[in-house]
Amino acid sequence: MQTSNNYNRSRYRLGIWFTAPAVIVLLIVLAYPIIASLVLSFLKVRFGGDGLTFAWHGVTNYTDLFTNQLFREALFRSVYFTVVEVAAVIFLALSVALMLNHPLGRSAFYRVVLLVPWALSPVANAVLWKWIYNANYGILNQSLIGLGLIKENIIWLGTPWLALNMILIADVWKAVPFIALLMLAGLQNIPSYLYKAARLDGANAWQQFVHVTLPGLKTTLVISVVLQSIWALKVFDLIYVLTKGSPADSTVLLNYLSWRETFSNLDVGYGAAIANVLFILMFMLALVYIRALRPRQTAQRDG
Amino acid sequence: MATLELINIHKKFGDFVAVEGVNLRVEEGEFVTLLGPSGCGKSTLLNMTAGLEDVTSGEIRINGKVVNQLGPFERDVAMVFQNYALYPHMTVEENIGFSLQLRKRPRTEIQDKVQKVASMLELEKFLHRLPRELSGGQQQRVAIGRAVIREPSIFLFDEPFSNLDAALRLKTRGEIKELHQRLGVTSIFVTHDQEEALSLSDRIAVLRLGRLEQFGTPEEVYSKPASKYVAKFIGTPQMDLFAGEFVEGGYQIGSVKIALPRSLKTANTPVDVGIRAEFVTLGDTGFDAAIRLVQPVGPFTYVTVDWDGGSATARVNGVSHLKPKETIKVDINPNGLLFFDRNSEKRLDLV
Repeated sequence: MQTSNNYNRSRYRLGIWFTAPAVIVLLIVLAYPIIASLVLSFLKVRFGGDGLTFAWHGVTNYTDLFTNQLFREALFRSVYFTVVEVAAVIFLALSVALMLNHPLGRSAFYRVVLLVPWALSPVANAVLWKWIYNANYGILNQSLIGLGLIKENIIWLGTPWLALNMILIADVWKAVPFIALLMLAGLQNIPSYLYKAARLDGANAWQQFVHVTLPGLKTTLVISVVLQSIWALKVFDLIYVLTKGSPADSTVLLNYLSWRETFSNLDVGYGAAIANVLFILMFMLALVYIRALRPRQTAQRDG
Repeated sequence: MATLELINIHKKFGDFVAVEGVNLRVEEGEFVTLLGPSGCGKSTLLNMTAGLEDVTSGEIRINGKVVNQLGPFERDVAMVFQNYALYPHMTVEENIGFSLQLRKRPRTEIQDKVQKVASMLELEKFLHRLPRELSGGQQQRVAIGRAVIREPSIFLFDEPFSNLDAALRLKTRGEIKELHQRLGVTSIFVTHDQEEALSLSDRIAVLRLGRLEQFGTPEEVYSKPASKYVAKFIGTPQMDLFAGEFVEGGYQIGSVKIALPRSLKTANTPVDVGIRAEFVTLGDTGFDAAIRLVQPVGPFTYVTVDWDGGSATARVNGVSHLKPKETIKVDINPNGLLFFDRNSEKRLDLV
């Protein structure tokens, strides 16, 4: 036993050395910012002629948050944006994946075309949509007028509720390809004999989808929802390029608000507090979904 | 219960011909095996019967009715797959009852039937388990249960034993045969294992490159193989085949002449002969040969001997104490000889 313990201990020690570089990098790029932001959120930071001054501020930044009308609105809008965005992305991505998995859609051409939106850089994508939505020259207004669906130009990004939804559409367009590819991989992992068995059991196309495809995609769906929720909650580039939060702060979401408070209003502690709320939201989501990822437990164990 | 007729079935995948002109009639309650190596078209034939694959041309009739246009379910056939194809997220109970659930049968009816099937297959203890919590043999029984509960007119088995280990394979083989004896449902069984085919079937259809080579009882394909191909494929150990020639009073294989009755007609074409191990005896009479290989298999020992220009395997009862390189007397029973046309490879009936 003695020797085996020694052996295990030395293996363990060696393991520490092997993992150390990765752990150190992770501590620098993940743990440090998280802790620093947490500390900042309890401070009042002033930019003065004599440099930065830090003063203990207690939980005031947080109590301010929840009494602040704009924060509450931004929180509500972020939740709305995330829920609708994730639902739309999952639905569209699943449809696209099903089409790509169909014998007629197997050509690599479609997969390459699919990837274009995803391959665009985020800001290029946002600029593209800015032109599409442009009230005077944008292709969207031109097309709709050409089709006779509308009579005069619509100011897509100038109307509060509409602007938020237009940003949502642009974000969905950008997000669908990656999720669709995830789902395509998931679909290809479902063995074809299960469909054969289902056909022999008398399942029609819809029943095959419900009883074979969806259960087989469960893990992929959960992963997609987790990733997409996190990406939707932290949306920033589209808002920055398209509206900068206007009109009348109607497109201010949490991440953008945090950025604006920190770098525009220079209220670093308050901005950090918002960022931490966002962090906690995403962290809870991740926990919920990881729980859901666990395989189904059987009701009974006997025999 | 039903009859199954395959009439002039062809199947092409692009340019590749998988099945070419197969005709087969399976009687009510019969157990028929489609036997052949991989690529012979046996699984394609089964899939076409199931309705999972379209036929390129030809007709499939179940109980006399053409079913070419019907889907798998309407054909009233049930299939047991090689890899079981159990729904991984459903319990054993849900897997077996799935087809009834799809047909919206009342809960109590489903439970009753599942219970009945489960007790027949000794699965009652596992009803609430998921497939991955079962052993291979148990999964196999669930797959069979899923087929049985539908009370189909034909059972289709697609190499159902190939994922099981040897011991379990034998056990399951017995279970399937018992099941067939009890239910008497017409069954089509696909395998590449000739021993499985011999032990299970009422009749065996031997396939070669998409064509039906022979369709007969196990007895027929074993002792009267239609061709060299069937002769080599069926039986353990493999039949010994010789490319010798007829000579006055017998058949010459290298330095050895096997005496044949004078009355035997010879053929106009060159003839090969085949002999099974049970017709080769070792002992006091016959010609001298050198022992090359001794393979005990329990009840028998297979002894391979060489002589100048030939080699054959003999079946010796029990454990043999013969050693390689020893010389022994070999006798070949002329009654066991099978004759094949060297060019067409078909068996010749020389009386």
